[in-house]
Amino acid sequence: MTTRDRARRIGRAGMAVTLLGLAGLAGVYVRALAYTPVERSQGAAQKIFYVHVPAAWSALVAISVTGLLSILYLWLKDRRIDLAAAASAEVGVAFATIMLTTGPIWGKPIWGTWWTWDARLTSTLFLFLLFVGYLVLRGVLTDPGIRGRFSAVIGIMGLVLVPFIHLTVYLFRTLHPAPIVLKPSAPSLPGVMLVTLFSSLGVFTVLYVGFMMQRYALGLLRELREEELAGAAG
Amino acid sequence: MVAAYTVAATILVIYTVSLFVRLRAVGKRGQDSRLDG
Repeated sequence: MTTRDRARRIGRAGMAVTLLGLAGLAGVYVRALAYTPVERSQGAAQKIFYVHVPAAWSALVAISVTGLLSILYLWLKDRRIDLAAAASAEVGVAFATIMLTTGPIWGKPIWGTWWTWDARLTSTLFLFLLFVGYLVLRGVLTDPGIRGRFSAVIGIMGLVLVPFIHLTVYLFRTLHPAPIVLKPSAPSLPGVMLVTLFSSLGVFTVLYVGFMMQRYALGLLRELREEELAGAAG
Repeated sequence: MVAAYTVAATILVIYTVSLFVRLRAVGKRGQDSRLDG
């Protein structure tokens, strides 16, 4: 099987996984909106949590994967690893966009403001802009070696930021709620809400995998195309 | 709440379509170049 055939197969499998994820998302929406109770103090706005938290989870997983693959790339210098890191970065930006739009929609009724420059929100926005910069840089640099090396440095910076962002709610005075699941003690959420949250986390993880496979296949096919053009010109 | 769910679904669907279109485009260009070559 040629690399092109393999890339196409990965792309098709990624599309199937994505469609499965989107079907799962419809199920999560029905469960969250119709079958999960309304929280007493926050009301209906609390249900944004079932979209915001999984989007944040997928974004931070995607950015961590980019960072880890960036370390691997600098070590092994394999261009496929660089392509996978870039794929994860783009998917991470998509999920981070959901995180950064649903957060303020929740903040307005609960905090009385769309945005506040506290440590959690500011560091998350910084991470998002860092990865937008990562994608812009990759679009500008034409030499694959320089592109891979420079973007790997940014990818590793993102990886360092992920645990810092998680800990900001403990290290600084912040309006953002502390974690209610990813914490040393037991999750402080009723079982029925926890099931909805974990279902959504599962669906967003499936979507991450599907997007990642498609974006990796796209990168691979683009690189093959560039090689063909370079071969034809040379 | 409805706005947040709509925004999330819209971004996910747009990204799915964007990947599909880009994959199709690069696949088609690859086919064309092999036919030309």
